[in-house]
Formats: sequence, C-alpha cells, structure tokens
Amino acid sequence: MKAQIEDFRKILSEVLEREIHSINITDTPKDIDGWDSLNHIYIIIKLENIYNVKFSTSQIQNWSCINDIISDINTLI
Amino acid sequence: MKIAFIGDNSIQFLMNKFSSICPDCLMYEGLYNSIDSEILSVTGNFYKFEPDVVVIHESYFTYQDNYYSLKDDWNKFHFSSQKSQRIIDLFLFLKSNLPNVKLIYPLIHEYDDSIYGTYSLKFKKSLLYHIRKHNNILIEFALCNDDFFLIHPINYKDATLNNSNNLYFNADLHFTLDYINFLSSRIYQIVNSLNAQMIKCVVLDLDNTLWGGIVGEDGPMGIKISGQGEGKFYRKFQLWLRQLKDRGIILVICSKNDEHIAKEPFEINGEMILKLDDFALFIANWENKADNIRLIKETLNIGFDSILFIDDNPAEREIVAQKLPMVVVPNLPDDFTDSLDYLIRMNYFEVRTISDNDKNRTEQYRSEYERIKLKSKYTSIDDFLKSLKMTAICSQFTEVDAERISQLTLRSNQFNLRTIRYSKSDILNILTLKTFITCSVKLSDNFGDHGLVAIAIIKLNDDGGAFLDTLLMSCRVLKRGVEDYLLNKIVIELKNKSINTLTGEYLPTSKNGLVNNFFIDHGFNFSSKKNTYILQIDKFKTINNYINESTN
Repeated sequence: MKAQIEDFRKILSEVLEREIHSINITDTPKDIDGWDSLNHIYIIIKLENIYNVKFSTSQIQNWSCINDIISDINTLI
Repeated sequence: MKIAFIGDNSIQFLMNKFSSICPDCLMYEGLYNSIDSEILSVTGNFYKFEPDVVVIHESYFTYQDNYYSLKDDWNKFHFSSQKSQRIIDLFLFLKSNLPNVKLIYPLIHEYDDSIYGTYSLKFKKSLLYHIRKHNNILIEFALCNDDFFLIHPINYKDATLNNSNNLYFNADLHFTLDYINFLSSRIYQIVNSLNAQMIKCVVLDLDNTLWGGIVGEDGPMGIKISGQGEGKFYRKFQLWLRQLKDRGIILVICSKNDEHIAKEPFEINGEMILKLDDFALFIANWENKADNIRLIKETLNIGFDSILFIDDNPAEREIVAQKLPMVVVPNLPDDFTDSLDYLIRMNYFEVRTISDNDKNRTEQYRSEYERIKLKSKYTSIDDFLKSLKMTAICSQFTEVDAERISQLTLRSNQFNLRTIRYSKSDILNILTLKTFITCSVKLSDNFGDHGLVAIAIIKLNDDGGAFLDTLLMSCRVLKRGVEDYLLNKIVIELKNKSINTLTGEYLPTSKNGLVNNFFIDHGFNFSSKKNTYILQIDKFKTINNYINESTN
C-alpha cells in the first residue's frame, strides 16, 4: 500500500489538531499554518509508527516539500 | 500550582505532554540550555513566575558532551562530584530565594559509551562510572532533603533513544516520546502528592472487611482469619494494616455490632493479627456510620479529607460518600479479596515529609552533610558567570566560517533582532564588500568550546551612520553576556571608522520576544519617526561582562 498525499493530509490534520482541507505535493512546512519545528517531530514520529518505517538522519535532513517525505516513505515500505 | 521546567535539551516535548495530563497547572518554559542562569538570575522572569515546583531535566547526551569536552585529567576525575554538587548548589540557591519551592530532578540515564569495553565500572574515567556516581550523590542528598525529589529512570526500561538518532541529530530530541510520557506522569504524581491532603486515619468495618464471615453468627472462633482461601486474604490484609499503623497511620473501627460481640475475636481468637490496642478508637453500635465518622473526626481532631473509609458494603460506602463528601471512600472491587491490591495501586498513603522514624535514620546523613557545610557556593548570577571563566575571540567573518554563519542566520529564532536569513553565498558576498562591518564571536568556558555563537552584520550608510542589519546569538549561550561583549566590540569598531550613530531595528516574530527590549536595555534611544532605535556612539558606556579575551 503506497502512501498517498491524502493519507498525509489526514495525518497532518491529526497532528496539527485541525482539519486541513487541501494540500499540494509541493507544499513546504512554511505553507501550512502550525507546522512548526515541534510539530515536525510529532509528524515524523507518527509517520514512522503508522508506516512502520525508520527514516535515516539524512533523509529527514534533505526534505524540502511534502513530496520528498511521501517518496521516502514509499521507498522504505 | 505553578511549575517551571528548565533543561539542557528541548523541554517543550515534556511540557506539551505534561500540560495534557495537568491542564490546570501554570507552566514556565526556561530558556534553552540555561539551567544555571534561570535559577541564579533573581530578577529574571523565572522568579517573577514564582514557581511552586521546579523541574530540572538534564540529558545524558549533554552530560556526555560535557564530559568529552574536558581535556585535563583533574577535571575528568572530579567531573561527577562537580556536576552533582552543582545541582545541590542550585537547589540551595533556589531554596534561599523561594523557601517553599520543591525541586524535581530525573536522574541521568546510565549509559555506557563502550570506551572501556566491558570493564567500564573498573575505570574511574569511564562515563558510566561518573553517571552512576553523580546519581548516587544526589540520591544521598535527597534522603535528607524533603523538598528534593528524584525520578528514577530505572523504573522505565526503554528509556534511551532506542534508534531515534534521526530525531536527535536533526531536531535535538534527546528522549523517546514514550519516555517523555513516563516522565510527565511521574512529575504529575509528585505534584499531586504535594497538593493532596494526606491520609492520617483509616476507618474500618469488621464483618467481611477485617475478617471473613459475621462474628454475630459465626462466633469469634468461626470467622475466617487464617488458612487457605478467604482467610488467607484477611490475614494478609491485617498484616498490611499493621504496617500502616507502625508507620503512624491511625486505625479506627466503625462497625454495626454490639460492642462486646465485636471485641470478642480480638480478645479470644489467637489468629487475629491486629489487637485491640492497635486501634485508636473502637466504635461498635447501631448508629449510622456517617454520624460515627463525625465523632471520630471530632475526637481525633483531624480533617474529614484525611480519613479513608473501608467497608465491604457498597450501601454503607454510598451513605458516607453522600453525607461526608470530603471523606475518601475507595470504590472497592466486587470481590473483596481484590481490595488489598486495589488499595496498594491507588497509593493513598503518600509520604510527603520524612516521618520521625525515618528522620532518626537520616540524622547521620544529615550531620555528615553539615560537616562538609551545606551551603551554596553561588550567591549571585555574577558569581556563576565568573566561575565559568569564559573567554572569547571576536573577528570579522572569514570564508571558513561562512557555512556556520549562514546556519546561524537560518536557525536562530529567539535571540535574533531582525531574523534576516542569509545563504552561504550571501555571506561570502558580504565579507568582500567594504560597505559592511561584520563581527563573529567564538566562545569557550571551563566546560569546553562552544564555537561560533554570535554574529553581527552592520551596513555603513552614505551619511556617516550605520545600520545594524543583523545581531543574533545561538540559544546555547543565552544569558551569559555574550551580547554585551559583542556590542562593546561593535562600538570600538565603529569608533575606529569614525561613525557617530548606529541605528537598530527590532522586527518582532512569534519567537523573538526575548529581545524586544534589547535596544532600550543597551542605551539606544527610540525614534518614533521610523520606528527605529538610535545609539550615539560617543555616549555609549562600555557594558560590564565576564568574558575575557582569548589568548589563543
């Protein structure tokens, strides 16, 4: 089961505790209200738990937009 | 309840979790990695907050970093003694300013860096040896200080990062969220015990509570109090109650019975663990129990909220709970033989202060500490800053440092006046331009080398003035006077270039409230025209600080 942007939207809504109606694959944390450094960590931990994956230090470091995150998940699962 | 959290790692995770389990508590977030300066700055926000409880959270990663940065053997040898004494000194300093404050300190994780293979504990220079010694010194200290609370990570097995290095290296998360959850619930339990009224008295029913069966029907020898089955439970329950009584909890009987029948088992049944003189009061009559508990309260002169009522009969419990809502009435399990486990799990008998019994035992420890003079070596923040023996080098930007300088502009959010971000190539460009003055500060202290921690970028105007484009500092070294040292340096540089005024601007963000008064505090005058601050260079008075020029 490949991770999709819709799954990511749901996870993001859960962590940020508000419904996020639409996101783009090219969005960066700056584009989404409340996605700060603290929530970034909660998002990473949640993704690791849900998809049962472990991101490498360099993967996390090299993310710039949502697409990077989703494609890393899909290479790991 | 007001709780201050200060730590040497990102404590927001701990605070987030804690606020979700204790939403009524007011919380104060200490500056990043500023344990000492928060506690020692008596005029700071920390003391304005007036915490009831202070949590100091140190991470074994930081402990390890500090240890590794030591170069000479003498410092390495004394590391744990100095580190633990520092916590004790901070505690004593805190108590001298806030006499009622409680300190909670989670012990450092035992962590072996495998430098000495399997033999770590045979080497006094091993990290594990020092962590263990550090913890032990604080355990000894806590034994005789009622207001010093430790949390033992030993109760939590999976305490280390456990493969979360990706988040440590990227985001400075030192602990797993599971461990942070564990810590916050422990802190909550301690805080709760400080608030709660302590139970001083247990009021007990007799039939089917202290023994199995009904003494009026089964007779004093027929009740179940030993052997297998129910009898075994009641024996165990009585033994536990006797332990409570020995600890100083008052036991009282309140039973619907004729008094002489109720007393018979105590007088003639040799299997009974509890004896009549274990009870402060023995009330057996046919009155309702709420009235009897009122009588008990008056007689013993204690509050309703320090009474725990134990009765196997839910109807009796309900009456007492309704008529005397302050009395603690546990909702015991249907199978009464599960009650002892239930009471133990509910942990009703918190020991907040050390009882007389314990005190005698700890007296020897106490006198030992008096001998080595239990006195904080710090008397002020200035003493602390002096003791750090800080040295610094201030220089223009160099190509070698461009990467680090760019990083600082990208990542510093708190101590940053304008939050202008620069890439590495921007920095490389700036350092070639004659219209800019640049300063970078490298700081060391007796804990080691902090590297490049603060920068300033000043743009020279055509009119003979200068504009403070950027002034920022890493959050690792807040509250040490680095900004004062840097501003002194900037002024010297401007004087050399015969520049008369320095204009500053504060651009507020959600994170840089720390520096909203920076200009006023440093002798700049507000100019409402352009919303800027102006410093007359010739009127500037050099700011006192405890940073010396590095000789290297």
